[in-house]
Amino acid sequence: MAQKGWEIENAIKLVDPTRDALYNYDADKVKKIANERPWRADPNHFKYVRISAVALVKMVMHARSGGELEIMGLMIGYVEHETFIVTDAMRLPVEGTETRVNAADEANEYMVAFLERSRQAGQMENAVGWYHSHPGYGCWLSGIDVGTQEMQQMANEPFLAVVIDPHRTISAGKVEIGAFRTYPANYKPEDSGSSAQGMAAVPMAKAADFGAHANRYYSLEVSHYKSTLDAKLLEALWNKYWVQTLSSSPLFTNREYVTKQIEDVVAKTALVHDSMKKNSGLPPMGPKPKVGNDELAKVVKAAEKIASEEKMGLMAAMVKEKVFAAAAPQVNQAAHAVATNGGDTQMADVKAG
Amino acid sequence: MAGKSASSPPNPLVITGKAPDTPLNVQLHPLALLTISDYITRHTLRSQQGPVVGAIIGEQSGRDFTLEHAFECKLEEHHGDVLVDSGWFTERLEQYRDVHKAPPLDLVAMFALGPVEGPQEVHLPMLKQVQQLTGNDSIMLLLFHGELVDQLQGGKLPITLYESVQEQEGTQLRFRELSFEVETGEAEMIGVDTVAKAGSTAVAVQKADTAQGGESSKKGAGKGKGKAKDKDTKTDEDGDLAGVLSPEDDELIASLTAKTNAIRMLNQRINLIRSYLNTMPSSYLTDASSTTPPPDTTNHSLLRSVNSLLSRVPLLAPQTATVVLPNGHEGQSQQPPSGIHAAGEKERQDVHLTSLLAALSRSVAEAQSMGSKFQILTREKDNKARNTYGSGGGRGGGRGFADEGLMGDVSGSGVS
Repeated sequence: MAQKGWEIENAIKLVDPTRDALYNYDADKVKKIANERPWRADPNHFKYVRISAVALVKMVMHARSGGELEIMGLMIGYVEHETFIVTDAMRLPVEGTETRVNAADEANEYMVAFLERSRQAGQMENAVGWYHSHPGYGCWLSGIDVGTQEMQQMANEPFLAVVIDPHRTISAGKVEIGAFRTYPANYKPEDSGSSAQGMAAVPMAKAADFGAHANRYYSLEVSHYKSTLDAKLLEALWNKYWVQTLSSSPLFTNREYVTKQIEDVVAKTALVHDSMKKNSGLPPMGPKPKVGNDELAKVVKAAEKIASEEKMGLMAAMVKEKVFAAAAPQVNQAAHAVATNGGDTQMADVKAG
Repeated sequence: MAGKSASSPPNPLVITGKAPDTPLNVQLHPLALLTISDYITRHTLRSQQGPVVGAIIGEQSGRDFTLEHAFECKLEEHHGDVLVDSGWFTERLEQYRDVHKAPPLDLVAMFALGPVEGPQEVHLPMLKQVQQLTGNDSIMLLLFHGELVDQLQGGKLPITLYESVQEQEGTQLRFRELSFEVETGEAEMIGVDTVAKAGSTAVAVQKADTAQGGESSKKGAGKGKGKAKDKDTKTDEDGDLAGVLSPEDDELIASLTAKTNAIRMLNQRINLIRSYLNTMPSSYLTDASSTTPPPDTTNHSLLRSVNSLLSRVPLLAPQTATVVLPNGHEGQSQQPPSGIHAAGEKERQDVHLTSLLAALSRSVAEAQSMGSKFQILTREKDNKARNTYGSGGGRGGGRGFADEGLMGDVSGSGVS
């Protein structure tokens, strides 16, 4: 039965096996990794998180829809080497999760049923983490969150905690998101102190809760991915906003944000500098220079990010200039010509006619 | 590829012609589109069998519809017809309704892959079944046209929306095309924007510390997030990966592509205006001696808008003082540039400054890491020497000073 355009044969060319590799799912590989459990050996085993386009938009919208109330949901996906790959996200019917310890339990029934239905439809991924929102007070784990995550890491490994701040997302125009894993109860992280410094943006009211538990978890690096088909569709969608693309002045509009970023980098550099000075007197031990190098590497990465964003902004300004202002002399001439020939030609016609 | 051209026989299932007087107002959200695309990619890559079919939920109030979230459906075959598994479907819809209570969302459409000509026979049983299950006759059908994806231009999305029309009981279900617009909420826009700009493709994750180049034979490993150690064996793998870009490059290319598309669009629109004006019959403006009055069909308001647009163009040019040079010609003055020029210069210099600082930080970091590596080397050498000669402390003291000197140099260059 030739079903035109209905079956997947036509869809094959919409997908690129190399560039869309993360969308594939190898159940055997997942089982193998679950048996090997490489994360047992190293509490810092997982370092990176890659979130799919769909999962990110769903989570951000869910966080925003909760308003002032914290919301919560589940992420599905798989792990590979030291990376969590989040392929999709689902909402859970609970709210106000920050003050209750057992919020996750209430949604248990829903979670199980939902995952089962997803598997029946062909979405075989397992639950790989949970996400919740901190409306307005930043991305970190509170005492209750740490407890929840510790439990999950004992029972449901591999598991990830993600926090989203919808208010800051809206005001910064960029998604404010963090991914965390807790340390086992008896583990003392090496550079205890540096993780607390990274998150300077916690409001005073929550600072105590933040400080008390800041050393029990570490954050992972988050990045996004999208499929080649997503990219094409997004291009088409963005063609609807082409006017804004051309007319935007990112250097100008983001001035405050960039200044803050630069201040942040300066502060971190000063910190690194101080810690260097402290260590330079003694014969250096093994791990200390490495820590210093890591901090400095982070600073360098932040600095380069700022530089590349600025470069893109400058390119936008240059494009604007070339497109609109480069032909200035001819434009001026043309304008003069029209003016001298009597600008109000249409009125003249009406009068004549 | 002609689209709905007259050369292909008209689709018997599609009603052409004018829509009824009170058209439906449909708003499509990007998330629904992304979900559909995600499902297609997954379905294809995992070689899953069966058609691509799913449901879209949204808000309906009167004649206004929104298409907000989507999910894929479990299908089953029934006498050769493709249907959704009704038990599965009802429960799944209920699950979605549970978490979308404020505002309450419900099923508004089904989506499927389909040709440009419109809904085919195969789409009918599934749609009819869903309409029966939910008791809602106005479930729309959204067709995704895979064949159009590579020729997207001018912002047209490769989808068409149809509403089902049943003229009388017992007759064939037919479809009429609906127009829709793309609408997004704030959070959605930021999310979609982040993803669009982030640029990263979904290449597979690379193992971070590949000891040998043995892994290099495993293709499909892109840059991912693995920080490859500098081993010689890696270089030929990197050479092969020349086609895969780093995330920063990807971002840059994405933003440049967006700009190119925007300029192309601008060009198209300008050409459109120009060709429209060219079709205007000759008049007072083109030939000063002509006395024919403009025809009655002239769209004066349109011409007025064009005129106002043109009169605004000179404002875009930065003001440069023009002076009359001694030889009687007008020329550009060499005087200090105008305000906007100065501001532009300053911005440019700021950007270059940040690049410079970033490059400087990188150099410092690399010098630093070289310094520590050197320390380790000297320490190891001294240790070996110490063990060989069995002498102690004197070396230790000297080493300490040497190390401080090295550290001092590095931090000194960092400060200056």
